[in-house]
Amino acid sequence: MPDLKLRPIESEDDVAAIATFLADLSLVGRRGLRDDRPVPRSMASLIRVIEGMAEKELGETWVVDSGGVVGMVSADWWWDAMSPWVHVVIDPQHQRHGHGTMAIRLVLDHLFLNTPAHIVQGGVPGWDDEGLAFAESLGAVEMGRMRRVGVREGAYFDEVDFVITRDMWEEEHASRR
Amino acid sequence: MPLEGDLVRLREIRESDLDLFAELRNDLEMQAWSRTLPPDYTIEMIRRRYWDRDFAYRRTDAIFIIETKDKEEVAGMISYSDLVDRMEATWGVAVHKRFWGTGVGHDAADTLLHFLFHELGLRVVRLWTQSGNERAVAAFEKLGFKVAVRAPNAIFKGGQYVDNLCMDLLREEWYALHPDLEDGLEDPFR
Repeated sequence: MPDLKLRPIESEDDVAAIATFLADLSLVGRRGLRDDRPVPRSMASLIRVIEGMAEKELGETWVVDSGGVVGMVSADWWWDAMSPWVHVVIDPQHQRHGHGTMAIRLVLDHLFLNTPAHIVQGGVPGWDDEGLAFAESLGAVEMGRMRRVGVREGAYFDEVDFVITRDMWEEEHASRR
Repeated sequence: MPLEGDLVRLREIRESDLDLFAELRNDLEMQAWSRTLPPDYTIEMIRRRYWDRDFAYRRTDAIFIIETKDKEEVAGMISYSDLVDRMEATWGVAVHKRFWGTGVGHDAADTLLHFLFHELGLRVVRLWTQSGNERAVAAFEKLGFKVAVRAPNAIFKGGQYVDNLCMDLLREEWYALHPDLEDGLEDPFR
C-alpha cells in the first residue's frame, strides 16, 4: 500500500492542484462539492469552492498526500458531530492504487477515535458505479436513496446514501491490528 | 390570490407574529428540529433572524405564517429552503400544539405543496424528520411522503437514539393524490 497521509490545505499550490484534478470531466457530478451538478465548472469557480471548504468551521477538508497531491477528503459535521458526512475524491491519474481506501480509513479512524461520531455517512450518485462499488468494498451499508437529486444524460438520478456505524468501524479496526 | 387551503391561509410574517416564533422555538415539543435547541430565544433574536431578508426576484427559500381562515388565529409557521429551480426544495413546518390534531398542519402542508408543484413546477420535494416523532412521520405519510433515507441512530434526543429520516414526494405522486388537478408541465426525463 502507498505511503499516504492527510494534511491541511496549506497553500495556493495545494488549492490549484486540487482544482486541476477536480476539473477532470470524469469527476463531474461526484466531487463532493456543494451543489455539484453534473456540469463542467471553471477553474476559478473550483478554486473559490475549495477555499471555502478549507475555511469551514464545522468540518475539515484535507489534502490526500502521497508524495504529492493525489486527492481530497472532506468531513462535515455542521448538523451534528455525532453523525458527520464524509467524501473522498482521488485524482483520476492516481486512481486504482488504494489511495481512496487508505484515505477513508484515516478519516474514519480520526472521526471515531477523536470525535463523538456515532455513525459516519456518505452519498454517491446512483449512476456512479465506481463510487457504489467503493462504498460496498468498505462495508458501508445502504441507508436509502434520495430520489431525483439531479438530471444526467436524459434521466433523473438518485443519491445512494451509506452509513458506517461505530460498531462496524470497531470490528474493522480490530481486524487491522 | 393568497396561498389558501380549506382551513388556513399562508401569509407573510408580521411584527405581531414574533411572539409565536419565540414560543415555538422555546418549547422542546414544538421546536420541530432534529437537534434540540436551547429554549432561550428572545423576541429580538427572532426579529434579527427574520427581518434580515431583502427583496429579490430569484428566491431559494420562503417562510410563511399559518393563519386559520375562520378565526384568523396564528397557528404556526411553514417554510421551504434549498430550492433548485424547477427541480427540488426542502420544507419544514412547526404547528403550535394548540392546533395539533385539528387538520391545520395537514392543510398548511398541502397548500405549500400546491404552491411548490403547481406554481413553481418542482419535480420533487423533500423533508427531514426523525423516527421519534411518530406523529409527524404519520402526518407526512398521509401527505404522500415516503421514507427515502433512514440514518440509523443518527440523532440523540429525549434521552435516546432515534433515526434521522429523509422523506420525499415526487411530482407525479402528489398529482395522483389530487385527481382534480391537471399537471400541465411536460417531463422530458421520465
